[in-house]
Amino acid sequence: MKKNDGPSPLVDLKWRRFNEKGDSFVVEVEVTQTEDFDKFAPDGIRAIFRVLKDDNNGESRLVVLIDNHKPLGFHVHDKLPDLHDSREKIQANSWQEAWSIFEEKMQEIFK
Amino acid sequence: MSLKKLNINFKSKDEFLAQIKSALTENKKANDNFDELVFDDISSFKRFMSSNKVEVLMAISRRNPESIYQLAKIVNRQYPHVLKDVKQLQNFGFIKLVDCNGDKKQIRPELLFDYDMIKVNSYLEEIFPISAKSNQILLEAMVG
Repeated sequence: MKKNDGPSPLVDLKWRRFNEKGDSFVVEVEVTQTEDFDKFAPDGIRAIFRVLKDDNNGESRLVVLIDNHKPLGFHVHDKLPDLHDSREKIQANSWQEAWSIFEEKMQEIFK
Repeated sequence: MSLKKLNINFKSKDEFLAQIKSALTENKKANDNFDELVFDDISSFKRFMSSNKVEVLMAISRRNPESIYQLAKIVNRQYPHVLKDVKQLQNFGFIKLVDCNGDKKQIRPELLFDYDMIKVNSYLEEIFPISAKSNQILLEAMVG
Protein backbone atom coordinates (compact mmCIF):
# COMPACT_ATOMS: atom_id res chain seq x y z
CA MET A 1 0.00 0.00 0.00
CA LYS A 2 1.38 3.40 -0.95
CA LYS A 3 1.21 6.17 1.64
CA ASN A 4 0.29 8.80 -0.91
CA ASP A 5 0.31 9.52 -4.61
CA GLY A 6 3.45 11.67 -4.60
CA PRO A 7 6.88 10.54 -5.73
CA SER A 8 8.20 7.48 -3.95
CA PRO A 9 10.67 8.55 -1.24
CA LEU A 10 14.24 7.29 -1.13
CA VAL A 11 14.13 7.57 2.63
CA ASP A 12 10.99 7.91 4.74
CA LEU A 13 11.64 6.99 8.34
CA LYS A 14 10.23 8.07 11.69
CA TRP A 15 11.64 7.24 15.10
CA ARG A 16 9.81 7.83 18.37
CA ARG A 17 11.12 8.29 21.88
CA PHE A 18 9.27 8.97 25.12
CA ASN A 19 11.58 9.61 28.06
CA GLU A 20 11.15 9.28 31.82
CA LYS A 21 10.41 13.02 32.15
CA GLY A 22 7.40 12.60 29.88
CA ASP A 23 9.05 14.38 26.95
CA SER A 24 8.20 12.80 23.66
CA PHE A 25 10.16 13.20 20.47
CA VAL A 26 9.60 12.20 16.88
CA VAL A 27 12.51 12.23 14.45
CA GLU A 28 11.45 12.40 10.80
CA VAL A 29 13.78 11.81 7.88
CA GLU A 30 12.42 12.18 4.37
CA VAL A 31 14.39 12.24 1.13
CA THR A 32 12.41 12.31 -2.11
CA GLN A 33 13.42 12.57 -5.76
CA THR A 34 11.21 15.25 -7.27
CA GLU A 35 11.06 16.76 -10.76
CA ASP A 36 11.38 20.28 -9.43
CA PHE A 37 15.05 20.95 -10.23
CA ASP A 38 14.59 24.66 -9.69
CA LYS A 39 13.19 24.53 -6.16
CA PHE A 40 15.48 21.68 -5.08
CA ALA A 41 18.60 22.48 -7.09
CA PRO A 42 20.67 20.94 -8.52
CA ASP A 43 19.33 17.38 -8.62
CA GLY A 44 15.67 17.74 -7.60
CA ILE A 45 16.16 15.86 -4.35
CA ARG A 46 14.02 17.19 -1.53
CA ALA A 47 15.41 16.48 1.93
CA ILE A 48 13.68 17.14 5.24
CA PHE A 49 15.30 16.21 8.54
CA ARG A 50 13.50 17.23 11.69
CA VAL A 51 13.07 16.59 15.38
CA LEU A 52 9.70 17.41 16.93
CA LYS A 53 9.12 17.61 20.65
CA ASP A 54 5.79 17.33 22.40
CA ASP A 55 5.37 20.06 25.02
CA ASN A 56 3.44 17.71 27.34
CA ASN A 57 0.12 19.17 26.22
CA GLY A 58 0.09 17.36 22.94
CA GLU A 59 1.42 20.39 21.08
CA SER A 60 4.26 19.38 18.81
CA ARG A 61 7.11 21.89 18.31
CA LEU A 62 10.05 21.70 15.97
CA VAL A 63 13.40 21.69 17.74
CA VAL A 64 15.60 20.98 14.71
CA LEU A 65 14.76 21.34 11.04
CA ILE A 66 17.10 21.08 8.07
CA ASP A 67 15.71 21.26 4.55
CA ASN A 68 16.84 22.40 1.12
CA HIS A 69 14.29 24.40 -0.85
CA LYS A 70 15.23 27.57 -2.72
CA PRO A 71 16.51 30.25 -2.36
CA LEU A 72 18.98 29.03 0.27
CA GLY A 73 19.51 25.41 -0.68
CA PHE A 74 20.46 23.42 2.42
CA HIS A 75 19.65 25.44 5.51
CA VAL A 76 18.88 25.01 9.17
CA HIS A 77 16.04 26.78 10.94
CA ASP A 78 18.38 28.18 13.54
CA LYS A 79 16.07 29.79 16.09
CA LEU A 80 13.67 26.95 16.80
CA PRO A 81 11.42 26.38 18.58
CA ASP A 82 10.64 30.09 19.03
CA LEU A 83 11.10 31.41 15.52
CA HIS A 84 10.29 29.21 12.54
CA ASP A 85 11.15 31.67 9.80
CA SER A 86 14.78 32.27 10.73
CA ARG A 87 17.03 30.28 8.41
CA GLU A 88 20.78 29.92 8.13
CA LYS A 89 22.51 28.38 5.11
CA ILE A 90 24.66 25.37 5.92
CA GLN A 91 27.74 24.06 4.16
CA ALA A 92 26.27 21.02 2.46
CA ASN A 93 26.02 20.12 -1.19
CA SER A 94 24.06 16.91 -0.87
CA TRP A 95 21.53 15.36 1.44
CA GLN A 96 24.28 13.03 2.67
CA GLU A 97 26.39 15.99 3.83
CA ALA A 98 23.35 17.66 5.36
CA TRP A 99 22.56 14.42 7.16
CA SER A 100 25.94 14.50 8.93
CA ILE A 101 25.11 17.94 10.33
CA PHE A 102 21.66 16.78 11.41
CA GLU A 103 23.09 13.64 12.99
CA GLU A 104 25.37 15.75 15.19
CA LYS A 105 22.38 17.79 16.35
CA MET A 106 20.40 14.65 17.00
CA GLN A 107 23.23 13.10 19.03
CA GLU A 108 23.31 16.28 21.11
CA ILE A 109 19.56 16.08 21.84
CA PHE A 110 19.54 12.38 22.70
CA LYS A 111 22.89 12.02 24.50
CA MET B 1 -11.04 -14.10 9.66
CA SER B 2 -7.87 -12.06 9.44
CA LEU B 3 -7.18 -9.12 11.68
CA LYS B 4 -5.31 -6.03 10.55
CA LYS B 5 -2.34 -5.24 12.73
CA LEU B 6 -0.48 -2.08 13.54
CA ASN B 7 3.03 -3.31 14.36
CA ILE B 8 5.15 -1.63 16.99
CA ASN B 9 8.81 -2.25 16.24
CA PHE B 10 11.93 -1.11 18.01
CA LYS B 11 15.22 0.38 16.94
CA SER B 12 17.82 1.90 19.18
CA LYS B 13 19.15 5.31 18.25
CA ASP B 14 22.29 3.67 16.85
CA GLU B 15 20.23 1.23 14.76
CA PHE B 16 18.13 4.08 13.41
CA LEU B 17 21.24 6.09 12.49
CA ALA B 18 22.86 3.00 10.94
CA GLN B 19 19.80 2.41 8.78
CA ILE B 20 20.02 5.93 7.38
CA LYS B 21 23.78 5.63 6.89
CA SER B 22 23.24 2.45 4.93
CA ALA B 23 20.68 4.20 2.70
CA LEU B 24 23.16 7.02 2.30
CA THR B 25 26.22 4.96 1.42
CA GLU B 26 24.60 2.13 -0.51
CA ASN B 27 21.95 4.28 -2.16
CA LYS B 28 19.28 1.91 -0.85
CA LYS B 29 15.68 2.82 -0.17
CA ALA B 30 14.77 2.95 3.51
CA ASN B 31 11.08 3.35 4.31
CA ASP B 32 8.88 2.47 7.25
CA ASN B 33 6.10 0.08 6.35
CA PHE B 34 2.66 1.68 6.30
CA ASP B 35 1.57 -0.63 9.13
CA GLU B 36 4.46 -0.06 11.53
CA LEU B 37 5.52 2.54 14.05
CA VAL B 38 9.09 2.51 15.32
CA PHE B 39 10.01 3.38 18.91
CA ASP B 40 13.45 3.43 20.49
CA ASP B 41 12.66 0.77 23.08
CA ILE B 42 9.87 -1.05 24.87
CA SER B 43 10.01 1.19 27.96
CA SER B 44 9.47 4.23 25.75
CA PHE B 45 6.40 2.59 24.23
CA LYS B 46 5.06 1.55 27.65
CA ARG B 47 5.45 5.07 29.01
CA PHE B 48 3.64 6.46 26.00
CA MET B 49 0.81 3.96 25.69
CA SER B 50 -1.14 4.52 28.89
CA SER B 51 -4.38 2.65 29.56
CA ASN B 52 -6.22 5.93 28.86
CA LYS B 53 -4.70 6.11 25.39
CA VAL B 54 -5.63 2.49 24.67
CA GLU B 55 -9.17 3.32 25.75
CA VAL B 56 -9.20 6.32 23.39
CA LEU B 57 -8.07 4.11 20.49
CA MET B 58 -10.73 1.52 21.30
CA ALA B 59 -13.43 4.19 21.46
CA ILE B 60 -12.35 5.63 18.09
CA SER B 61 -12.39 2.18 16.50
CA ARG B 62 -15.65 0.96 18.04
CA ARG B 63 -17.78 4.10 18.35
CA ASN B 64 -16.55 6.30 15.47
CA PRO B 65 -16.90 9.61 17.34
CA GLU B 66 -17.58 12.64 15.14
CA SER B 67 -15.51 14.97 17.32
CA ILE B 68 -13.04 14.98 20.17
CA TYR B 69 -15.80 16.38 22.37
CA GLN B 70 -17.94 13.32 21.59
CA LEU B 71 -14.94 11.07 22.20
CA ALA B 72 -14.47 12.64 25.65
CA LYS B 73 -18.12 11.86 26.42
CA ILE B 74 -17.66 8.23 25.32
CA VAL B 75 -14.60 7.64 27.49
CA ASN B 76 -16.14 9.69 30.29
CA ARG B 77 -13.11 11.91 30.83
CA GLN B 78 -12.56 15.67 30.77
CA TYR B 79 -12.15 17.19 27.33
CA PRO B 80 -8.67 18.78 27.89
CA HIS B 81 -7.21 15.45 29.02
CA VAL B 82 -8.71 13.58 26.08
CA LEU B 83 -7.53 16.32 23.71
CA LYS B 84 -3.97 15.92 25.01
CA ASP B 85 -4.09 12.14 24.51
CA VAL B 86 -5.54 12.57 21.03
CA LYS B 87 -2.83 15.03 20.00
CA GLN B 88 -0.08 12.78 21.32
CA LEU B 89 -1.57 9.79 19.50
CA GLN B 90 -1.65 11.89 16.35
CA ASN B 91 1.92 13.13 16.80
CA PHE B 92 3.14 9.56 17.21
CA GLY B 93 1.18 8.33 14.18
CA PHE B 94 -1.52 6.13 15.76
CA ILE B 95 -4.39 8.28 14.54
CA LYS B 96 -5.14 11.13 12.14
CA LEU B 97 -7.46 14.09 12.63
CA VAL B 98 -9.85 14.85 9.82
CA ASP B 99 -11.76 18.10 9.29
CA CYS B 100 -15.49 17.33 9.11
CA ASN B 101 -17.00 18.80 5.94
CA GLY B 102 -14.12 21.25 5.70
CA ASP B 103 -15.01 22.65 9.11
CA LYS B 104 -11.78 23.05 11.07
CA LYS B 105 -13.74 23.57 14.28
CA GLN B 106 -15.03 20.02 14.16
CA ILE B 107 -12.25 17.50 13.92
CA ARG B 108 -12.95 13.80 13.72
CA PRO B 109 -10.34 11.40 15.10
CA GLU B 110 -9.68 8.31 12.95
CA LEU B 111 -7.27 5.43 13.25
CA LEU B 112 -4.20 5.74 11.01
CA PHE B 113 -5.70 2.89 9.01
CA ASP B 114 -8.42 0.43 9.85
CA TYR B 115 -6.35 -1.72 12.22
CA ASP B 116 -7.93 -4.20 14.61
CA MET B 117 -5.07 -4.60 17.01
CA ILE B 118 -1.70 -3.26 18.02
CA LYS B 119 1.02 -5.91 18.02
CA VAL B 120 4.11 -5.10 20.04
CA ASN B 121 7.06 -6.98 18.60
CA SER B 122 9.32 -7.11 21.62
CA TYR B 123 11.00 -10.02 23.43
CA LEU B 124 7.53 -10.74 24.80
CA GLU B 125 4.96 -10.32 22.08
CA GLU B 126 2.03 -8.27 23.30
CA ILE B 127 -1.34 -7.63 21.71
CA PHE B 128 -3.71 -4.73 22.33
CA PRO B 129 -7.14 -5.53 20.89
CA ILE B 130 -8.55 -2.30 19.48
CA SER B 131 -11.57 -3.18 17.34
CA ALA B 132 -14.63 -5.03 18.64
CA LYS B 133 -13.86 -7.78 16.11
CA SER B 134 -10.39 -8.36 17.57
CA ASN B 135 -11.82 -8.59 21.08
CA GLN B 136 -14.32 -11.19 19.98
CA ILE B 137 -11.75 -13.30 18.12
CA LEU B 138 -9.25 -13.19 20.97
CA LEU B 139 -11.96 -14.18 23.46
CA GLU B 140 -13.03 -17.09 21.25
CA ALA B 141 -9.40 -18.18 20.93
CA MET B 142 -9.01 -18.12 24.71
CA VAL B 143 -12.20 -20.12 25.27
CA GLY B 144 -11.42 -22.53 22.45
